[in-house]
Amino acid sequence: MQDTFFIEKNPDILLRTHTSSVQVRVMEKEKPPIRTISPGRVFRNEAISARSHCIFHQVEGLYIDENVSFADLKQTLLYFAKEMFGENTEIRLRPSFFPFTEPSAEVDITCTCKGKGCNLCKNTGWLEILGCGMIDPNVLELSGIDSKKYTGFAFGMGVERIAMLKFGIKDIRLLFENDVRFLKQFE
Amino acid sequence: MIEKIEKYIVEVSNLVANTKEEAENLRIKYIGRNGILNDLFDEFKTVPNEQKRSVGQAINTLKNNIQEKIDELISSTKKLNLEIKIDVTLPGDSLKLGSRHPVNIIKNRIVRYFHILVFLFLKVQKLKTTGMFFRH
Repeated sequence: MQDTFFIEKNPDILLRTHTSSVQVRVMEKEKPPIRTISPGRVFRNEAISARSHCIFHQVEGLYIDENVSFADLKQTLLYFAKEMFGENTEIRLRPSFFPFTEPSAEVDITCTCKGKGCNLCKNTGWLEILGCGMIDPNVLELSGIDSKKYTGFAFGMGVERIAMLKFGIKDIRLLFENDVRFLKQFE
Repeated sequence: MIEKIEKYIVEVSNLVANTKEEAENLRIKYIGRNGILNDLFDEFKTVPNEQKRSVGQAINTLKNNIQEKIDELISSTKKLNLEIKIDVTLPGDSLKLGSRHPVNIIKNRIVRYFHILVFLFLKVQKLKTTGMFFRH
């Protein structure tokens, strides 16, 4: 068991560490096709630094239907990246591991320096923005969904990370300080 | 001399001023460099020693009364001016609303982009039991 912010013992109540729990609930309650987006604040017992905070926000997406393929996932994410970061944005998927998806991938977008190399992308030309994958058939079965008939994908991203990239914010802590001089800049 | 001072005390209590300029003129008339009060102080030097005490007290009362009255007049004319300046038929100053938090701006945008793809918006409680997180 990982350490996190527990509120009560027996039954153990805690502040959620990710929004994936929402998806478990949806899959248990609803019948496919399912298409949801669930934003939320999450809490982790982490050291606070310029790059990470113990409070942050996630947005998770879930799509379950017949004939959902990895190609659909790629197209959805490409659409999102172009809408958020501009028409010329490209995406790159790197194989990765997440407990609830198989296969899983991490998604990078092209950096605004266009591959020239800058501090932001640490000279790689790519910026990681989200994690995603095809939902593990076991997860579907556990939630009472026929994994032979239905497939689906899920993705999740950190809102702060995208806000920092988008607005050029160097320190995540600025987002939680409630400094009016900072907040005024986003009118 | 005491009678003269008492006459001034009565006069001062009946002073009126409708504008700031009028109040200012009264101030100059009474407490200005060549004002009535200074004249009285000059005259005071000629008062015989036995009378100095009572005349001095009277002058001080007059001085305080004048100062109070003039202050009162100046502040009341200021109020008057302010009231005139407000045109109640003008539209009011709107209250400035705050701005959205950058995190919310981005969150709303993300939700909007996926809403176009008919992803439905879901909101769920922040407290969970461990079963929902560490189930294998």
